[in-house]
Amino acid sequence: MDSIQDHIISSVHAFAPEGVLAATLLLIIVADLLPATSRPGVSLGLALGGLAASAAAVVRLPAGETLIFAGMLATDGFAATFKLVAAAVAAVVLVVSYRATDVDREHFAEYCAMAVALSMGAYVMAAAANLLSMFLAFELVSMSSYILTAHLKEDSKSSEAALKYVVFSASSSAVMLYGMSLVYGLTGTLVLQSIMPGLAHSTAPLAQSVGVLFILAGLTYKIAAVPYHFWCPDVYEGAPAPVAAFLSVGPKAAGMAMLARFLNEALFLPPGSPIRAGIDFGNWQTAIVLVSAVTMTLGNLSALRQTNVKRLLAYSSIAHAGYMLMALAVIRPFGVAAMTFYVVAYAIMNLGAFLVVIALGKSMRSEELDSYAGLGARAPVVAVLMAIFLFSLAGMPPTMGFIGKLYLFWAVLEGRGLAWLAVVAALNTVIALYYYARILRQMFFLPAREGAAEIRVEPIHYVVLFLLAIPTLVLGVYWGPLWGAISAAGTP
Amino acid sequence: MYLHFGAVLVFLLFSVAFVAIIYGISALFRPANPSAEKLTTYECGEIPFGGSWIQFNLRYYLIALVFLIFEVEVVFLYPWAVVLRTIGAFAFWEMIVFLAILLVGFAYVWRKGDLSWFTPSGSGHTDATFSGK
Amino acid sequence: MQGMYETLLAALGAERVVPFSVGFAALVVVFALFAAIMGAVVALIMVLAERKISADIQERIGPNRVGPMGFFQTVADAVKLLTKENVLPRKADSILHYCAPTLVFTGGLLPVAAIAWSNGIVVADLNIGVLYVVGTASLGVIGRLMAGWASNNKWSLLGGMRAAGQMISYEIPNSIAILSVIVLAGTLNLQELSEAQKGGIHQWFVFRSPFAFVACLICLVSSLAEVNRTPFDLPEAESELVSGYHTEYSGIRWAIFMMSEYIGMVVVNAVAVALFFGGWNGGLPGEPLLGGWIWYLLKIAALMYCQVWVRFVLPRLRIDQLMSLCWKNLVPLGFLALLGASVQALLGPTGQHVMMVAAWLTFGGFVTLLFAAVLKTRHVPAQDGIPR
Repeated sequence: MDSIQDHIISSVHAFAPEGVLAATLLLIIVADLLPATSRPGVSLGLALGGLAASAAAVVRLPAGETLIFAGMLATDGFAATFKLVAAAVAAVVLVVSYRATDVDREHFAEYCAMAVALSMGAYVMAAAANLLSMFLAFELVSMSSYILTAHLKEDSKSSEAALKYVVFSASSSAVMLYGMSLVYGLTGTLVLQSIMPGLAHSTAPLAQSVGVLFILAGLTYKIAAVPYHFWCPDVYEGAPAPVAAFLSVGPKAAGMAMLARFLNEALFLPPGSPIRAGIDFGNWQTAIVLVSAVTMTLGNLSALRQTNVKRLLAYSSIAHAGYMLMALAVIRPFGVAAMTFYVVAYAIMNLGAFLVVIALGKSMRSEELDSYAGLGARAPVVAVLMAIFLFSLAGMPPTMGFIGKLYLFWAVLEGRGLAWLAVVAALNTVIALYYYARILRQMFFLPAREGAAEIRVEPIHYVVLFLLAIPTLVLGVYWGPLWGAISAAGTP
Repeated sequence: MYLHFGAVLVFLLFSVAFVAIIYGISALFRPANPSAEKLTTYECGEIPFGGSWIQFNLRYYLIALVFLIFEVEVVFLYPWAVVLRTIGAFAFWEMIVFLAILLVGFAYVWRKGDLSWFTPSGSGHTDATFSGK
Repeated sequence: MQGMYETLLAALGAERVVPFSVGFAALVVVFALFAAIMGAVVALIMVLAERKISADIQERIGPNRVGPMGFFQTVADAVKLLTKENVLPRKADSILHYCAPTLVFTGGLLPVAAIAWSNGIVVADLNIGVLYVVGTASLGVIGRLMAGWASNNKWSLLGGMRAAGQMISYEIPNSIAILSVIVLAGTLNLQELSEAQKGGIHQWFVFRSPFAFVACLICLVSSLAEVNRTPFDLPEAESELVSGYHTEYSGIRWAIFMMSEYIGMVVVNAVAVALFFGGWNGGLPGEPLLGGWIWYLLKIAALMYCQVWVRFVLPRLRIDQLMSLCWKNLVPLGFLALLGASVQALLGPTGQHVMMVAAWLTFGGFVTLLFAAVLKTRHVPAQDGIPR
């Protein structure tokens, strides 16, 4: 009995980052209920403070892999990296939302609380080492995402997006849960590390494939990879812009982390493992490779014809999921590090691009592509910043996106027999360049429409834009320390 | 112990059968003279109007949601209550944390007016909305 | 306790004739039949008692035609119900209409299995007894909602929805109040709960802890609501909803609903007695005189009398009052009681003694307040010469 208590208490110490977030969430709600502190500024302050404290707790945790709560969560360097990304993303989104048009200031406390809950879910997703904790975290992220998407209660588009999201998400998490139950039935374990040996001894290949496939389906839904990407453009278009920015980065990064851990611990084994012989390792790798290729191609091709910037960025985020998956197909320390590095890069540049949409939304009241015409003359600073983010998304030097892609390609080329995937990705980069260039063309080479609104950008948005643009450029030239830190963090 | 759960099963089967048997006995004695008038839906002697599947006050749904949360919580509390004295203060504090989190939610629902049947916006004055023919 | 069935079967000499499982099942069926018949008898007695008590409160005579002092009135009613035509409205869903009373009856009868009537007399001695009783008793919610839905009648549907809304709401304070005793006793087994209150009236949980006393009040109030009785009889409020979810029920099906309601009353009171009022203990040190089941039944009867009494004294609540009483008063109060009780559970023997004194003080305070309230009630002088 005592040993269980000791284990729980020591686990709670390692759970401090998530605990801080949970406390913050409650504190925001309580503060909102008291008339004296029921102000958006208070909510924002509490949320930012909590995120900072939890990030500090992540950094302060002793390094090295430990399993807490009886193997439910793993607190390793890999998880820590993704936790820091999640905290940073949430903080940026909240700061931006404070002054954004399409966020309801009356319900800002709920908004902050849900953003914190989403980050907490993302933390747990990054650390989940057990099918049960995976599913719980997955659901926490999903639930808070629905609420954030439906944040504008009076806006029918927001509600529509949320409803679509709920229906789609509910069915895919049901599928995932069914897959988990099959795997559990076959192996008798929920612990990721014991799934592979369990599967090796099971004698039902069909159930085994279906189970794993269903779990992968749920995970690909979370990162919006083909064929579970349909929700993505609709939700991003209908959701408030800051929420779309959040959803395109936060859950996706967490989903990548969870997928990486699942693949690494449950499906892929290090070469030379004794049990590997009995298992069709190749199939799962092939599946990931195929999903990756199809995702990036379909995402990019669909983005070509979009006229709404948010939808365009949604399809671009689908394509990026494909790029990241590419590195996961060759899961080994290098592939994981490349994926992590790309997630960091993607978080910065994609948030930046979305932030431009948010900042402009205040004066333009439109997210259509042709309302961006002549932006280079109307708001040169914003246009140039947008150009930086788009170049980075397209993977042009000297930006962070370029370095990220470089590592991805490198990782793929290291994997045997995957050169064709690298070729597909390269072709995709060219396609992507075309639609990013369409935005640039609108901004710099087309005249502004008659009666186009005067652009006024909030100072805080300028600050955040610069804060995102600087690393995009700097890390494109001097990425060594970041890469070093990420590769030192190791694999799940 | 399993034996006694078996008794529960027998009880369950019995009570289903018992009602059926009582129905059967009653069927031996009772008359059956249905007529079209007799089989109409009862609406206090009026000719029934509209369907009976009426739109409900949304409150019922909210109550069900709040109930669900609390019921799940109570289910967690049952095993805790049994072992509280054997585990001691540790279990007590654990449950205090659990309850505190839940009570914040309760306070939220209360303060936002979702526990009152009548809301400031005026909804909730009726149980349901009738739509005529 | 272990071996009640073995002992009984051995006494009957059945073990040599049939396998144990068959004998066991047969015994349980006998018990269940007994419980069901007793349920019917209780319903008959209670209907009569209710009418007599209400007549007494309202200064009327009550039923006095059938048999001596009207004692066979309800028997005549029962015969009438048994031979009455069963009207199934054309638009009703016949299968659900059939199933609903069954479900309500099951929800009434199943909890009876786990109730410990006396030391060693219990059909199913479950380790999760209280949880089982609370869980199976809530089957009735589904049955009532089903009845409302199946009837395809606006009144029925509204009654069914109200019944569901009310019963699930009051299940929360009820469960929390029950938990306050569970933390003190450390068991869910109804037999062990009675065992824990042995040794005199001061060992009853209601007098052992002020928190259990508060919990007892909550439990009594919410159990009234659980069985849909006045002042919580909104689901069948005859002045608004004809008769609620059983508007479209007649004859024997309606009788099953009525019978289940009275079995339900017995069950909630039996649980309250087991938790707060010493179960089958007599209230004096040592073994209960006459046998525990007599004490148990007497206590249940006393509580049932109170329920009838309340019915003819208090007016019906409005639905918003009903909901706010539950969620805004009973639930927070219940949590406080649970918190206090769990602190008390961790105290040493001295603390327990202090709590016992506190419980008696609370009890005294409560009774004083009650009397003060009664005395404060304005006496209305008779204006028409009729003495009141």
